[in-house]
Amino acid sequence: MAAARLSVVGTGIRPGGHLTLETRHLLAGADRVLAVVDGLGLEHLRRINPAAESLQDCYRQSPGREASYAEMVRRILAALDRGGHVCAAFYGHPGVFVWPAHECIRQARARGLEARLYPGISAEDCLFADLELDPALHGCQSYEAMDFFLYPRLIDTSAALVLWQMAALGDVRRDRFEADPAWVRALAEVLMADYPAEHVATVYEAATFPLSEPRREPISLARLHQVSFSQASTLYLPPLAAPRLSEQRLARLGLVAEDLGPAAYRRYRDR
Amino acid sequence: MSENTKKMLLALSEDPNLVSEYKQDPKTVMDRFGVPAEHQELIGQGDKEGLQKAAGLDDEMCRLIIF
Ligand SMILES: C[S@@+](CC[C@H](N)C(=O)[O-])C[C@H]1O[C@@H](n2cnc3c(N)ncnc32)[C@H](O)[C@@H]1O
Repeated sequence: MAAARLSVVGTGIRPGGHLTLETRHLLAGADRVLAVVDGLGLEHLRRINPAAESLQDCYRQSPGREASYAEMVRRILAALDRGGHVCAAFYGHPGVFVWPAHECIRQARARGLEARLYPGISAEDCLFADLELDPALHGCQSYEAMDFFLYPRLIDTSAALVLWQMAALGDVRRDRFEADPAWVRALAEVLMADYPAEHVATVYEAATFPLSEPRREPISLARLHQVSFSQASTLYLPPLAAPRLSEQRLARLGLVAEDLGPAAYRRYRDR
Repeated sequence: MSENTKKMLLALSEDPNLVSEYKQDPKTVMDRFGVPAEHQELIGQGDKEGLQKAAGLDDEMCRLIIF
């Protein structure tokens, strides 16, 4: 058996169609594949590599999220102990909001093994497509919802705001998979310090099952506690207004606003 | 559970052209894949959970939170 090495790959949000070619090759050539994906995703993986096994049972064996994630890492490292090429596959982008993916890379490296993370299509990539947004236009802030609530950040209302893992909001003991309505209300109140109560957010869920459509449910901040959040829900808040040009910064370089050449994106943003 | 139903779902999740064709004429696509009549009925009713079960792809316990 060849020396142990680890590839951490992402299968994208829509099983099958979102697999990149390089990921397909890595999976096909792997000695072992361990995956955190849904049923259809696992079926796709098994067609590429019949040895693919699911790590979903880590959630059942362990009482809380911490123990489940540790169990995933333990299983991936145990597979590496047997030598050969191990592929750890996570749905979406494996490096985006996935604790065990980064942790298994750290632990593999600490053992002196080769380990590499490959990109995949994330939920945010799907959001940009399904809501037809370009993050270059206003900029984009992206946070884990509960972390955003607990550790206040400077909110820039001229940029978009994306909050992930809404279903874990209020999961104090890290062992539930359902948002706590009291926390949703509290989060909305925090947001309403910067945005008007009638500011309309979108509860977004990319379609993962063929023939399904994405969920794009508009909801005002004042009524945020009335919507239901699933584990796939991401909350999107559009910017309030366009950012302001800094005459001061231009002046540092001896320029004024009129010196800036025309840019279609700026006209569109300021309309 | 039907292997043919599963095959069609796998193909649909890979190929947007097939999705377009399906939206125009679902019956022809389902017949081509040999999807059994009872599954065609589930699909017609938009019963996603029923269809997942029928294809042997039960996601009831699937978790998506990994951070
Ligand atoms: C642990 S993170 C994993 C994200 C994943 N690695 C990615 O690249 O998108 C889980 C969160 O991602 C977002 N997410 C996952 N699936 C989604 C989907 N189908 N549509 C929208 N957001 C999704 C939700 O915010 C969910 O709570």
